[in-house]
Amino acid sequence: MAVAVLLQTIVEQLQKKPISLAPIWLGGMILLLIPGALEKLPLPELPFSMVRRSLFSERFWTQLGASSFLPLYLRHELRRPQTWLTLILTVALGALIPKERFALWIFVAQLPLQRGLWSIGGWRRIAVRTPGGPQLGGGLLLTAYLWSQAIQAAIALVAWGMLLLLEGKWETASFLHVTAATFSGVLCCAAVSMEGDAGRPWLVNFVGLSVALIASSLVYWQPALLILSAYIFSNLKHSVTYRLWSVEEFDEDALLS
Amino acid sequence: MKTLCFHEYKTGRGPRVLLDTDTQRDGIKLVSGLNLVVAPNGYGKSTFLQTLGGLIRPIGGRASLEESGNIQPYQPSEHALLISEYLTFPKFIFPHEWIEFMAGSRVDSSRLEPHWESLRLNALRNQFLGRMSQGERRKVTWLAAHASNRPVILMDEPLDGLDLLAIDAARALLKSWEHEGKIILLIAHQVSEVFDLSKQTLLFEAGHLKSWEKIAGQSAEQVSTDVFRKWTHQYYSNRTTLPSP
Repeated sequence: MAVAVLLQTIVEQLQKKPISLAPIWLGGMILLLIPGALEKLPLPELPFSMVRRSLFSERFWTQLGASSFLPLYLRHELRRPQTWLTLILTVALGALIPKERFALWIFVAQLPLQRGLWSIGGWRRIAVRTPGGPQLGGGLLLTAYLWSQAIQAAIALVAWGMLLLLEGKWETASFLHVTAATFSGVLCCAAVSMEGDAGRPWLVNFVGLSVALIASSLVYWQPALLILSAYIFSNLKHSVTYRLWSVEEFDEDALLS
Repeated sequence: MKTLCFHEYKTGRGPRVLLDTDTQRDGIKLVSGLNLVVAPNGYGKSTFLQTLGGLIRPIGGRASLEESGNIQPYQPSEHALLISEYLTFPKFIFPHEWIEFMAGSRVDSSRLEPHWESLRLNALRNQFLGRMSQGERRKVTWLAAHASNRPVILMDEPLDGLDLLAIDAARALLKSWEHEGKIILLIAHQVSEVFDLSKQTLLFEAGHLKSWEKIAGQSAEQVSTDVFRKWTHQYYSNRTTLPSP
């Protein structure tokens, strides 16, 4: 509902006329199915490895705060065809944005974030099995999601930036604003990735979409607010300690594709 | 020799206590080598294992790890590796990456080398877990347990889905862990595969752990698996209700 109210304002501004909440809410529901469908697409393995074997095994990655869970999550995410297909779609949609409406990238950038949230629930079962998992697993998963999405956002921004340069649409100030807004969305979406009954699909998607849109919009308006996003992430990361104690349903075999 | 001792250690789901264990009162402690748990479904075996593995909080009490007079509080995250009956795997991960993750530390590859062959995983080293069968993935978890340097290994039905050759390899691993002084707590319904290796066999009675060796006055070396199977069948047949301590 929060997303619907937010989107209603934006659509009204764009359309220059009042519009009722119901179609916006329904539209939001349908829009959220797109990343869900992308995440669940039964795609074949990539013909070449996007991640060499030893990548992410450097100590740097384990020191980022998610122990041995972070390399595992990053390797898996960046080897999946779904991840790259979503990034290609994101950049392709970005290329359609006209020069005077760069801010629309904020909405396009939600696609990889939302796709990643669809599998957070499954990853809880693995996060909880790390040493100290029931206590720390929530925070580990949150951190792993953040770094994975930050890497994907950076890749998408670089690709989009190159397209803008090629098309002669490049505008440094706007691009920097959009970059800050994108990372603010990543930080705040990651911050709430253990909300909605510890990352349950749909619930967490709605929460994530609302928070990321608000955070991105505010930082686009005032880039210095990015610091506030980092603070929110850090704060919520500590609040999810013990979050996985409450999560059950580990007793089933599963293959996270 | 390492031992895992219990002090009014209560496990269960929610407020319901399924098992109450106390080393001083019951004379039960887990010893280095294979500790086999045999009980019907619903008695709380997996709950006990998951509590020792840190997945569930104990309802009460504590456990301690003792060795040569040195007593330290038992910390699941530091001391135990839990191999669950149900296994969730990420599809695009190589076996050695999964082993490293489960072991929680850098893996000594020379320690694992002979076991890739004995578990017949050599040809699968370069395949994603998603391309393996469930039995092959379970073999990888056996390697992960071998790679781990934690002193307590908790295994819930780890023989499920293993072929005959893999069971032989798994038995060899169990023996090597015993030589290393590790405490292994293993739940198995098909006891015939590992009964002869057990240092201690534990039964559930009215919400308490009991030593089969003490009740029967025998040890695993003295009786065949068939005799043990008949004995436990009769033992549990006479106990129709679920335990409540």
